[in-house]
Amino acid sequence: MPRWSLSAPEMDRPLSGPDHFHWLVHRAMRAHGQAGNISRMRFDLGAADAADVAATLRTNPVVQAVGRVRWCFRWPLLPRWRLTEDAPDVVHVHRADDGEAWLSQRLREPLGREGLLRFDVRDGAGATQVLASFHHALFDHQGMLNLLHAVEAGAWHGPAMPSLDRAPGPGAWREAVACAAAAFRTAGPRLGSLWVRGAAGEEPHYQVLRFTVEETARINARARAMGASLSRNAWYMAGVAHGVQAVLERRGRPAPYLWFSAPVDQRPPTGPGHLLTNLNSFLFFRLEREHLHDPGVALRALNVQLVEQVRSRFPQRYRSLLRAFRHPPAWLASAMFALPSLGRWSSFGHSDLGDLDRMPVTFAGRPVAQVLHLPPVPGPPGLCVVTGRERGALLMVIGRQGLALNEQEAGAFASSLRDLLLGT
Amino acid sequence: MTVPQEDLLLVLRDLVAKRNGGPVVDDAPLETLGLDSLSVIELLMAVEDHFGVRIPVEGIGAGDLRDLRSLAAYAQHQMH
Repeated sequence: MPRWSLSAPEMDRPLSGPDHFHWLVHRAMRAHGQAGNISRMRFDLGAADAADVAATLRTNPVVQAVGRVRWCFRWPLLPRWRLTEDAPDVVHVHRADDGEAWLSQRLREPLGREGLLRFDVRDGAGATQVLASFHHALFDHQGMLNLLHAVEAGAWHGPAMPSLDRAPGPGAWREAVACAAAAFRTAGPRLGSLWVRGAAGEEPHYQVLRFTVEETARINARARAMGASLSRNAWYMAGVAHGVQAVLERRGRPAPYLWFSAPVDQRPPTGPGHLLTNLNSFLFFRLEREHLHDPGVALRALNVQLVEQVRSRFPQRYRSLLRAFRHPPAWLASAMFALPSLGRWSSFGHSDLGDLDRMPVTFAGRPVAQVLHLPPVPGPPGLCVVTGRERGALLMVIGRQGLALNEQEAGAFASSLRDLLLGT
Repeated sequence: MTVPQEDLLLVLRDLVAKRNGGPVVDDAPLETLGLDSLSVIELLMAVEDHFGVRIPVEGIGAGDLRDLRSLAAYAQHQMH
Protein backbone atom coordinates (compact mmCIF):
# COMPACT_ATOMS: atom_id res chain seq x y z
CA MET A 1 0.00 0.00 0.00
CA PRO A 2 1.69 3.27 -1.07
CA ARG A 3 2.24 5.71 1.78
CA TRP A 4 3.02 8.60 -0.54
CA SER A 5 0.82 11.64 -0.33
CA LEU A 6 1.49 15.31 -0.54
CA SER A 7 -1.59 17.18 0.51
CA ALA A 8 -2.13 20.76 1.61
CA PRO A 9 -2.99 19.84 5.25
CA GLU A 10 0.14 17.65 5.47
CA MET A 11 2.35 20.40 4.12
CA ASP A 12 0.88 23.15 6.29
CA ARG A 13 3.53 22.99 8.99
CA PRO A 14 6.53 25.01 10.11
CA LEU A 15 9.92 24.24 8.61
CA SER A 16 11.74 21.65 10.72
CA GLY A 17 14.79 22.84 12.69
CA PRO A 18 17.32 21.59 10.10
CA ASP A 19 15.17 22.98 7.25
CA HIS A 20 15.18 26.30 9.04
CA PHE A 21 18.98 26.21 9.32
CA HIS A 22 19.29 25.74 5.55
CA TRP A 23 16.70 28.46 5.01
CA LEU A 24 18.81 30.87 7.11
CA VAL A 25 21.90 29.92 5.07
CA HIS A 26 19.82 30.61 1.96
CA ARG A 27 18.84 34.07 3.20
CA ALA A 28 22.47 34.89 3.98
CA MET A 29 23.54 33.76 0.50
CA ARG A 30 20.81 35.77 -1.21
CA ALA A 31 21.82 38.83 0.81
CA HIS A 32 25.29 38.43 -0.74
CA GLY A 33 23.79 38.35 -4.23
CA GLN A 34 24.20 34.60 -4.73
CA ALA A 35 21.67 32.22 -6.26
CA GLY A 36 20.94 30.65 -2.87
CA ASN A 37 21.36 27.44 -0.91
CA ILE A 38 20.83 25.17 -3.89
CA SER A 39 22.40 21.79 -4.58
CA ARG A 40 22.58 20.81 -8.21
CA MET A 41 23.39 17.66 -10.12
CA ARG A 42 24.11 17.58 -13.83
CA PHE A 43 23.18 14.38 -15.60
CA ASP A 44 24.84 13.71 -18.97
CA LEU A 45 22.35 11.74 -21.05
CA GLY A 46 24.35 11.34 -24.28
CA ALA A 47 22.25 11.70 -27.43
CA ALA A 48 18.84 11.45 -25.73
CA ASP A 49 16.15 13.64 -27.27
CA ALA A 50 15.92 16.77 -25.08
CA ALA A 51 12.24 17.40 -25.86
CA ASP A 52 11.35 13.80 -24.94
CA VAL A 53 13.32 14.05 -21.69
CA ALA A 54 11.51 17.28 -20.79
CA ALA A 55 8.12 15.76 -21.63
CA THR A 56 8.88 12.72 -19.46
CA LEU A 57 9.79 14.94 -16.51
CA ARG A 58 6.80 17.29 -16.97
CA THR A 59 4.31 14.44 -16.83
CA ASN A 60 5.99 12.73 -13.89
CA PRO A 61 3.57 12.71 -10.90
CA VAL A 62 6.38 13.10 -8.33
CA VAL A 63 7.84 16.11 -10.18
CA GLN A 64 4.38 17.65 -10.44
CA ALA A 65 3.61 17.11 -6.73
CA VAL A 66 6.95 18.27 -5.31
CA GLY A 67 7.04 21.19 -7.77
CA ARG A 68 4.07 22.64 -5.87
CA VAL A 69 5.94 23.00 -2.56
CA ARG A 70 6.69 26.56 -1.45
CA TRP A 71 7.35 28.36 1.76
CA CYS A 72 5.23 31.20 3.03
CA PHE A 73 5.27 33.51 6.06
CA ARG A 74 2.66 33.67 8.72
CA TRP A 75 2.55 36.08 11.60
CA PRO A 76 5.01 36.85 13.17
CA LEU A 77 7.12 36.11 10.10
CA LEU A 78 7.52 32.41 10.75
CA PRO A 79 8.23 30.35 7.63
CA ARG A 80 5.91 27.43 6.92
CA TRP A 81 5.62 24.95 4.10
CA ARG A 82 2.61 25.14 1.81
CA LEU A 83 1.44 23.84 -1.56
CA THR A 84 0.43 25.92 -4.56
CA GLU A 85 -2.97 25.09 -5.95
CA ASP A 86 -1.74 24.46 -9.49
CA ALA A 87 1.28 22.46 -10.56
CA PRO A 88 3.74 24.93 -12.10
CA ASP A 89 6.06 23.97 -14.93
CA VAL A 90 9.44 23.29 -13.30
CA VAL A 91 11.03 21.84 -16.45
CA HIS A 92 12.79 24.23 -18.84
CA VAL A 93 14.46 23.38 -22.14
CA HIS A 94 17.36 25.44 -23.51
CA ARG A 95 19.03 25.19 -26.91
CA ALA A 96 22.74 25.63 -26.10
CA ASP A 97 25.82 24.26 -27.85
CA ASP A 98 28.30 25.59 -25.29
CA GLY A 99 27.71 23.41 -22.20
CA GLU A 100 30.09 25.36 -19.95
CA ALA A 101 28.51 28.74 -20.74
CA TRP A 102 25.06 27.23 -20.23
CA LEU A 103 26.04 25.78 -16.85
CA SER A 104 27.64 29.04 -15.75
CA GLN A 105 24.42 30.91 -16.59
CA ARG A 106 22.26 28.39 -14.72
CA LEU A 107 24.45 28.56 -11.60
CA ARG A 108 23.73 32.28 -11.32
CA GLU A 109 19.97 31.72 -11.31
CA PRO A 110 18.02 31.46 -8.07
CA LEU A 111 15.03 29.17 -7.86
CA GLY A 112 13.09 32.17 -6.59
CA ARG A 113 9.37 32.15 -7.06
CA GLU A 114 9.64 29.05 -9.19
CA GLY A 115 9.86 26.94 -6.07
CA LEU A 116 12.22 24.44 -4.56
CA LEU A 117 12.81 22.04 -7.41
CA ARG A 118 13.69 22.71 -11.02
CA PHE A 119 15.00 20.81 -14.03
CA ASP A 120 16.88 22.55 -16.85
CA VAL A 121 17.35 20.44 -19.97
CA ARG A 122 20.14 21.40 -22.37
CA ASP A 123 19.53 20.50 -25.98
CA GLY A 124 23.10 20.48 -27.20
CA ALA A 125 22.65 18.71 -30.55
CA GLY A 126 23.55 15.16 -29.58
CA ALA A 127 24.71 16.08 -26.07
CA THR A 128 21.68 16.28 -23.81
CA GLN A 129 22.16 17.27 -20.18
CA VAL A 130 19.74 17.81 -17.33
CA LEU A 131 20.61 20.11 -14.47
CA ALA A 132 18.50 19.17 -11.43
CA SER A 133 18.34 21.99 -8.86
CA PHE A 134 17.21 21.12 -5.34
CA HIS A 135 16.65 23.72 -2.64
CA HIS A 136 18.61 22.67 0.43
CA ALA A 137 15.85 23.92 2.75
CA LEU A 138 13.66 21.11 1.39
CA PHE A 139 16.15 18.33 0.61
CA ASP A 140 19.18 16.90 2.35
CA HIS A 141 21.45 14.72 0.23
CA GLN A 142 19.57 11.52 1.08
CA GLY A 143 16.33 13.32 0.24
CA MET A 144 17.74 14.31 -3.16
CA LEU A 145 18.62 10.67 -3.88
CA ASN A 146 15.18 9.55 -2.66
CA LEU A 147 13.53 12.08 -4.95
CA LEU A 148 15.59 10.95 -7.96
CA HIS A 149 14.58 7.33 -7.33
CA ALA A 150 10.95 8.37 -6.84
CA VAL A 151 11.02 10.29 -10.13
CA GLU A 152 12.48 7.25 -11.91
CA ALA A 153 9.86 4.96 -10.37
CA GLY A 154 7.05 7.48 -10.96
CA ALA A 155 5.98 6.99 -7.33
CA TRP A 156 7.25 7.04 -3.76
CA HIS A 157 6.35 4.31 -1.28
CA GLY A 158 7.64 5.84 1.96
CA PRO A 159 6.25 8.78 3.94
CA ALA A 160 6.40 12.17 2.27
CA MET A 161 7.74 13.90 5.38
CA PRO A 162 9.07 12.86 8.78
CA SER A 163 6.86 13.24 11.81
CA LEU A 164 6.54 16.84 12.90
CA ASP A 165 9.37 18.24 15.05
CA ARG A 166 7.79 19.00 18.41
CA ALA A 167 8.08 22.49 19.84
CA PRO A 168 10.98 22.55 22.30
CA GLY A 169 10.01 22.00 25.94
CA PRO A 170 11.83 23.66 28.87
CA GLY A 171 14.62 21.04 28.76
CA ALA A 172 15.16 21.60 25.07
CA TRP A 173 15.33 25.36 25.60
CA ARG A 174 18.05 24.80 28.24
CA GLU A 175 19.95 22.69 25.73
CA ALA A 176 19.48 25.36 23.08
CA VAL A 177 20.93 28.01 25.38
CA ALA A 178 23.90 25.76 26.28
CA CYS A 179 24.47 25.09 22.62
CA ALA A 180 24.34 28.78 21.73
CA ALA A 181 26.85 29.47 24.52
CA ALA A 182 29.19 26.85 23.02
CA ALA A 183 28.84 28.52 19.62
CA PHE A 184 29.75 31.93 21.09
CA ARG A 185 32.69 30.39 22.97
CA THR A 186 34.24 28.68 19.95
CA ALA A 187 33.31 31.01 17.08
CA GLY A 188 34.08 34.69 16.72
CA PRO A 189 34.94 37.29 14.11
CA ARG A 190 38.66 36.40 14.10
CA LEU A 191 38.11 33.03 12.49
CA GLY A 192 40.26 32.52 9.40
CA SER A 193 38.40 33.11 6.17
CA LEU A 194 39.25 33.17 2.47
CA TRP A 195 36.37 35.54 1.86
CA VAL A 196 37.32 38.79 0.15
CA ARG A 197 35.13 41.84 0.42
CA GLY A 198 33.39 42.44 -2.88
CA ALA A 199 33.16 38.77 -3.83
CA ALA A 200 29.37 38.88 -3.70
CA GLY A 201 27.21 37.88 -6.62
CA GLU A 202 29.61 35.58 -8.44
CA GLU A 203 28.59 32.15 -9.65
CA PRO A 204 30.53 29.29 -8.02
CA HIS A 205 33.30 27.39 -9.80
CA TYR A 206 33.92 23.68 -9.30
CA GLN A 207 36.83 21.31 -9.56
CA VAL A 208 36.44 17.56 -9.16
CA LEU A 209 39.23 15.41 -7.73
CA ARG A 210 38.69 11.79 -8.77
CA PHE A 211 40.75 9.00 -7.29
CA THR A 212 41.00 5.42 -8.52
CA VAL A 213 39.99 2.49 -6.29
CA GLU A 214 43.70 1.74 -5.72
CA GLU A 215 44.43 5.36 -4.81
CA THR A 216 41.42 5.36 -2.48
CA ALA A 217 42.80 2.27 -0.73
CA ARG A 218 46.13 4.09 -0.33
CA ILE A 219 44.37 7.21 0.99
CA ASN A 220 42.37 5.12 3.49
CA ALA A 221 45.48 3.28 4.67
CA ARG A 222 47.32 6.56 5.12
CA ALA A 223 44.33 8.08 6.95
CA ARG A 224 44.26 5.11 9.34
CA ALA A 225 48.01 5.28 9.86
CA MET A 226 47.68 8.97 10.74
CA GLY A 227 45.00 8.10 13.34
CA ALA A 228 41.73 8.56 11.42
CA SER A 229 40.24 5.21 12.43
CA LEU A 230 37.08 6.79 13.87
CA SER A 231 36.36 9.03 10.94
CA ARG A 232 38.02 9.33 7.54
CA ASN A 233 36.26 12.67 7.22
CA ALA A 234 38.34 14.03 10.08
CA TRP A 235 41.44 13.36 7.95
CA TYR A 236 39.88 15.06 4.91
CA MET A 237 38.90 18.06 7.06
CA ALA A 238 42.42 18.22 8.49
CA GLY A 239 43.76 18.27 4.92
CA VAL A 240 41.35 21.01 3.82
CA ALA A 241 42.11 23.11 6.93
CA HIS A 242 45.84 22.73 6.30
CA GLY A 243 45.30 23.88 2.70
CA VAL A 244 43.19 26.89 3.73
CA GLN A 245 45.84 28.02 6.21
CA ALA A 246 48.53 27.58 3.51
CA VAL A 247 46.58 29.97 1.24
CA LEU A 248 46.17 32.49 4.07
CA GLU A 249 49.89 32.26 4.85
CA ARG A 250 50.75 32.95 1.21
CA ARG A 251 48.48 36.00 1.47
CA GLY A 252 50.51 37.10 4.49
CA ARG A 253 47.70 36.80 7.03
CA PRO A 254 47.63 33.34 8.63
CA ALA A 255 44.50 32.69 10.66
CA PRO A 256 44.59 32.60 14.47
CA TYR A 257 42.12 29.72 14.19
CA LEU A 258 39.74 28.07 11.74
CA TRP A 259 36.13 27.24 12.65
CA PHE A 260 33.95 24.97 10.56
CA SER A 261 31.11 22.49 10.79
CA ALA A 262 30.29 19.06 9.45
CA PRO A 263 26.71 17.88 8.96
CA VAL A 264 25.56 14.75 10.78
CA ASP A 265 22.85 12.65 9.15
CA GLN A 266 20.10 11.94 11.67
CA ARG A 267 17.87 9.82 9.45
CA PRO A 268 16.96 6.38 10.80
CA PRO A 269 19.63 3.83 9.81
CA THR A 270 17.21 1.43 8.13
CA GLY A 271 14.15 1.69 5.91
CA PRO A 272 13.48 3.96 2.95
CA GLY A 273 13.26 7.18 5.02
CA HIS A 274 11.14 10.12 3.97
CA LEU A 275 11.10 12.11 0.77
CA LEU A 276 11.16 15.76 1.81
CA THR A 277 12.77 18.02 4.41
CA ASN A 278 16.16 17.74 6.10
CA LEU A 279 17.00 15.53 9.02
CA ASN A 280 20.49 16.49 10.00
CA SER A 281 22.48 18.25 12.67
CA PHE A 282 26.04 19.49 12.91
CA LEU A 283 29.34 19.07 14.68
CA PHE A 284 31.57 22.12 15.04
CA PHE A 285 35.35 22.13 15.02
CA ARG A 286 37.96 24.70 15.88
CA LEU A 287 41.62 24.34 14.93
CA GLU A 288 44.15 26.72 16.44
CA ARG A 289 47.17 28.02 14.56
CA GLU A 290 49.45 25.46 16.23
CA HIS A 291 47.22 22.65 14.87
CA LEU A 292 47.34 23.95 11.34
CA HIS A 293 51.02 23.46 10.53
CA ASP A 294 50.74 19.68 10.57
CA PRO A 295 47.67 17.77 9.31
CA GLY A 296 48.47 14.94 11.75
CA VAL A 297 48.27 17.35 14.68
CA ALA A 298 45.04 18.81 13.25
CA LEU A 299 43.60 15.29 12.94
CA ARG A 300 44.31 14.50 16.59
CA ALA A 301 42.61 17.75 17.66
CA LEU A 302 39.60 16.93 15.49
CA ASN A 303 39.37 13.40 16.94
CA VAL A 304 39.28 14.78 20.48
CA GLN A 305 36.60 17.36 19.56
CA LEU A 306 34.57 14.72 17.69
CA VAL A 307 34.50 12.35 20.66
CA GLU A 308 33.77 15.18 23.14
CA GLN A 309 30.82 16.39 21.09
CA VAL A 310 29.29 12.97 20.54
CA ARG A 311 29.74 12.15 24.24
CA SER A 312 27.97 15.38 25.20
CA ARG A 313 25.16 14.68 22.68
CA PHE A 314 26.00 17.88 20.87
CA PRO A 315 24.22 16.93 17.59
CA GLN A 316 20.98 16.28 19.47
CA ARG A 317 21.39 19.49 21.47
CA TYR A 318 22.09 21.44 18.31
CA ARG A 319 18.82 20.17 16.86
CA SER A 320 17.13 21.68 19.91
CA LEU A 321 18.79 24.97 19.08
CA LEU A 322 17.59 24.70 15.50
CA ARG A 323 14.05 23.98 16.68
CA ALA A 324 14.26 27.00 18.97
CA PHE A 325 15.47 29.14 16.04
CA ARG A 326 12.21 28.82 14.21
CA HIS A 327 10.13 30.38 16.99
CA PRO A 328 11.42 33.98 17.00
CA PRO A 329 10.51 36.15 13.99
CA ALA A 330 12.67 35.57 10.91
CA TRP A 331 14.72 38.78 11.29
CA LEU A 332 15.64 37.85 14.88
CA ALA A 333 16.49 34.24 13.94
CA SER A 334 18.75 35.55 11.16
CA ALA A 335 20.50 37.90 13.59
CA MET A 336 20.96 35.08 16.14
CA PHE A 337 22.28 32.83 13.40
CA ALA A 338 24.92 35.38 12.32
CA LEU A 339 25.95 36.55 15.76
CA PRO A 340 28.51 33.93 16.93
CA SER A 341 30.72 34.53 13.90
CA LEU A 342 29.52 38.11 13.28
CA GLY A 343 28.51 37.20 9.76
CA ARG A 344 31.72 35.47 8.72
CA TRP A 345 29.84 32.16 9.01
CA SER A 346 32.75 29.70 8.95
CA SER A 347 36.20 29.07 7.49
CA PHE A 348 34.96 26.56 4.90
CA GLY A 349 32.10 24.18 4.30
CA HIS A 350 32.56 20.42 4.37
CA SER A 351 30.19 17.49 3.96
CA ASP A 352 30.28 13.83 3.07
CA LEU A 353 27.73 12.60 0.57
CA GLY A 354 28.57 9.01 1.52
CA ASP A 355 28.16 6.16 -0.91
CA LEU A 356 27.20 7.56 -4.32
CA ASP A 357 26.35 4.10 -5.67
CA ARG A 358 22.75 4.79 -4.64
CA MET A 359 22.62 7.32 -7.46
CA PRO A 360 20.15 6.11 -10.14
CA VAL A 361 21.81 4.79 -13.30
CA THR A 362 18.98 6.13 -15.43
CA PHE A 363 17.32 9.53 -15.40
CA ALA A 364 14.01 10.28 -17.09
CA GLY A 365 14.32 6.72 -18.37
CA ARG A 366 17.62 7.38 -20.19
CA PRO A 367 21.02 5.91 -19.21
CA VAL A 368 23.22 8.38 -17.32
CA ALA A 369 26.75 8.63 -18.73
CA GLN A 370 28.07 10.78 -15.86
CA VAL A 371 26.84 12.86 -12.92
CA LEU A 372 28.47 16.11 -11.88
CA HIS A 373 27.72 17.10 -8.26
CA LEU A 374 27.46 20.83 -7.68
CA PRO A 375 26.96 21.57 -3.97
CA PRO A 376 26.06 25.07 -2.78
CA VAL A 377 29.07 27.29 -2.11
CA PRO A 378 27.97 29.69 0.62
CA GLY A 379 29.79 32.98 0.56
CA PRO A 380 31.20 33.71 3.06
CA PRO A 381 33.25 31.55 3.32
CA GLY A 382 33.37 30.98 -0.44
CA LEU A 383 34.87 27.48 -0.26
CA CYS A 384 33.24 24.11 0.26
CA VAL A 385 34.65 20.61 -0.14
CA VAL A 386 32.32 17.67 -0.56
CA THR A 387 33.42 14.04 -0.55
CA GLY A 388 31.73 10.89 -1.77
CA ARG A 389 32.55 7.39 -2.97
CA GLU A 390 31.64 6.03 -6.41
CA ARG A 391 32.07 2.25 -6.74
CA GLY A 392 34.71 2.37 -4.01
CA ALA A 393 36.60 5.31 -5.52
CA LEU A 394 36.91 8.58 -3.58
CA LEU A 395 35.53 11.70 -5.20
CA MET A 396 36.06 15.25 -3.95
CA VAL A 397 34.22 18.26 -5.29
CA ILE A 398 35.87 21.59 -4.51
CA GLY A 399 33.45 24.49 -4.91
CA ARG A 400 34.71 28.06 -4.67
CA GLN A 401 33.83 31.66 -5.29
CA GLY A 402 36.41 33.20 -7.62
CA LEU A 403 37.48 36.03 -5.32
CA ALA A 404 37.61 33.80 -2.24
CA LEU A 405 40.05 31.48 -3.99
CA ASN A 406 41.33 32.56 -7.39
CA GLU A 407 42.15 30.10 -10.17
CA GLN A 408 45.84 29.92 -9.38
CA GLU A 409 45.22 29.47 -5.64
CA ALA A 410 42.52 26.89 -6.35
CA GLY A 411 44.91 24.91 -8.57
CA ALA A 412 47.60 24.91 -5.87
CA PHE A 413 45.03 24.06 -3.18
CA ALA A 414 43.66 21.06 -5.12
CA SER A 415 47.10 19.80 -6.05
CA SER A 416 48.43 20.01 -2.48
CA LEU A 417 45.27 18.35 -1.10
CA ARG A 418 45.67 15.49 -3.57
CA ASP A 419 49.37 15.09 -2.67
CA LEU A 420 48.60 15.20 1.04
CA LEU A 421 45.91 12.53 0.80
CA LEU A 422 48.05 10.24 -1.34
CA GLY A 423 51.18 10.91 0.69
CA THR A 424 53.21 11.88 -2.38
CA MET B 1 36.05 -4.53 36.23
CA THR B 2 36.07 -7.64 34.02
CA VAL B 3 33.11 -8.34 31.79
CA PRO B 4 33.06 -11.47 29.63
CA GLN B 5 33.29 -10.65 25.93
CA GLU B 6 30.11 -12.65 25.28
CA ASP B 7 28.18 -10.38 27.69
CA LEU B 8 29.49 -7.30 25.90
CA LEU B 9 28.54 -8.82 22.57
CA LEU B 10 25.04 -9.53 23.87
CA VAL B 11 24.55 -5.91 24.95
CA LEU B 12 25.93 -4.56 21.66
CA ARG B 13 23.73 -6.94 19.68
CA ASP B 14 20.64 -5.84 21.62
CA LEU B 15 21.44 -2.16 21.20
CA VAL B 16 21.93 -2.47 17.43
CA ALA B 17 18.85 -4.68 17.05
CA LYS B 18 16.73 -2.05 18.86
CA ARG B 19 18.24 0.70 16.73
CA ASN B 20 17.72 -1.12 13.44
CA GLY B 21 14.47 -2.85 14.38
CA GLY B 22 15.63 -6.34 13.43
CA PRO B 23 18.02 -9.20 14.21
CA VAL B 24 21.76 -8.59 13.92
CA VAL B 25 24.57 -10.83 12.68
CA ASP B 26 27.67 -10.59 14.90
CA ASP B 27 30.20 -10.82 12.11
CA ALA B 28 28.42 -8.54 9.63
CA PRO B 29 30.58 -5.51 8.72
CA LEU B 30 29.54 -2.49 10.81
CA GLU B 31 28.79 -0.48 7.67
CA THR B 32 26.14 -3.00 6.62
CA LEU B 33 24.50 -2.53 10.04
CA GLY B 34 24.16 1.18 9.30
CA LEU B 35 26.80 2.10 11.88
CA ASP B 36 29.04 5.06 11.15
CA SER B 37 31.75 6.48 13.39
CA LEU B 38 29.31 8.57 15.40
CA SER B 39 26.97 5.69 16.06
CA VAL B 40 29.92 3.51 17.15
CA ILE B 41 30.83 6.13 19.77
CA GLU B 42 27.17 6.27 20.84
CA LEU B 43 27.07 2.47 21.09
CA LEU B 44 30.16 2.43 23.30
CA MET B 45 28.60 5.16 25.44
CA ALA B 46 25.52 2.97 25.88
CA VAL B 47 27.79 0.07 26.90
CA GLU B 48 29.46 2.42 29.41
CA ASP B 49 26.05 3.28 30.87
CA HIS B 50 25.05 -0.37 31.01
CA PHE B 51 28.14 -1.55 32.91
CA GLY B 52 28.93 1.73 34.71
CA VAL B 53 32.46 1.97 33.29
CA ARG B 54 34.38 4.35 31.04
CA ILE B 55 35.65 3.11 27.66
CA PRO B 56 38.16 5.45 25.96
CA VAL B 57 37.39 5.63 22.24
CA GLU B 58 40.24 7.84 21.05
CA GLY B 59 42.57 4.86 20.61
CA ILE B 60 40.17 2.74 18.59
CA GLY B 61 41.74 1.21 15.48
CA ALA B 62 40.38 0.06 12.14
CA GLY B 63 40.66 -3.58 13.22
CA ASP B 64 38.33 -2.86 16.15
CA LEU B 65 35.65 -1.56 13.81
CA ARG B 66 35.24 -4.65 11.60
CA ASP B 67 32.13 -6.10 13.24
CA LEU B 68 30.34 -6.33 16.60
CA ARG B 69 32.66 -9.11 17.76
CA SER B 70 35.79 -6.99 17.26
CA LEU B 71 34.05 -4.02 18.88
CA ALA B 72 33.19 -6.17 21.91
CA ALA B 73 36.83 -7.31 22.10
CA TYR B 74 37.99 -3.67 22.02
CA ALA B 75 35.53 -2.70 24.77
CA GLN B 76 36.63 -5.63 26.94
CA HIS B 77 40.33 -4.75 26.47
CA GLN B 78 39.68 -1.10 27.39
CA MET B 79 37.70 -2.08 30.52
CA HIS B 80 40.70 -3.90 32.00
